[in-house]
Amino acid sequence: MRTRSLLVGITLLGLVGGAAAAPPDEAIIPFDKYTTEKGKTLATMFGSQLRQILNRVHNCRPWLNVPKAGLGFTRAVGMPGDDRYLNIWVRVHQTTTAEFAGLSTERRASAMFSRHGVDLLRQLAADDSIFADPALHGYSVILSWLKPNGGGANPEKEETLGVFTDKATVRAFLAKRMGGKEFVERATIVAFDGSDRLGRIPLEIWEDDFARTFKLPNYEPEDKNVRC
Amino acid sequence: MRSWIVRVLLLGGITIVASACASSDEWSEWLKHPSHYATGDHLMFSFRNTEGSAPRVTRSDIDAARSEQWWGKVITVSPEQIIQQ
Repeated sequence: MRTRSLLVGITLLGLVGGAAAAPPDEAIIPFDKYTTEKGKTLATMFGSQLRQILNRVHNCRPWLNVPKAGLGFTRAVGMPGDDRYLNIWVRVHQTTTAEFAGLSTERRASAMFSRHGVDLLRQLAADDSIFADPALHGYSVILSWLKPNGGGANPEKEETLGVFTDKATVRAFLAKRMGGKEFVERATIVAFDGSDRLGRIPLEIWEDDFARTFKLPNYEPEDKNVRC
Repeated sequence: MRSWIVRVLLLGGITIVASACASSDEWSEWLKHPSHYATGDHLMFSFRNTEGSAPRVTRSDIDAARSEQWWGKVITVSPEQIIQQ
């Protein structure tokens, strides 16, 4: 709870007055970049749903940025086979407070996942047709943010957290039939400090309704048809 | 004539002192950016937001800052380290 209150202190960059640019098409993995038939099939079948997800994130979560090839049906490095996850990779733009900088790596990752990761999982898992496709194994969210205390003599670094979970676990967690602790136990978690792999880090998930309740002052989605 | 020699010596001295502080990679990086600003967008952003006032930052500013490396290189993980397509 204390950490949550600390997180409330994180202030977003003032995006006031800035109209959202159109969602970048390059954020979705191009069909021809998939290396297996399973990946290509999923991308072909659910291309329009991917664009809807991207459009919603782009317009309704202006503090998030989906980088090039950040959305698609990918597999996790190091996992055997061709288990496909509906994956979204976002960069979180925020002004880092002293409180956030004072947290440990694990607590920062927990805070980020609680705030943005769960919200993104909800958006990925909302489509019933994708969920029902037997070729889909699960959902994954990758979050990157600027590591505090960078700059100056130290090069700026990003911290990155990746969480991969099978689809039944995600749906059970989002429906509150499963607690955060069990969700974490079932998830494959990877973390990076810059480009250095930290491996699995202990993650804690708590309630954070920021993404659904925060309204950026003077911000209007460019796409008026998107329901935020 | 004498003042010209002094100037050359001074410039040479500054170059030697400065070069002793930077690696060849750093020099190479610096030479790639002869301007204080990375791009025209960066220049306009700085003109628009002076110190002491609340910054006005748009979504496209944030995207441009990253893609154009306004604040320098950021060390991060490459996608190939986490996911495969």
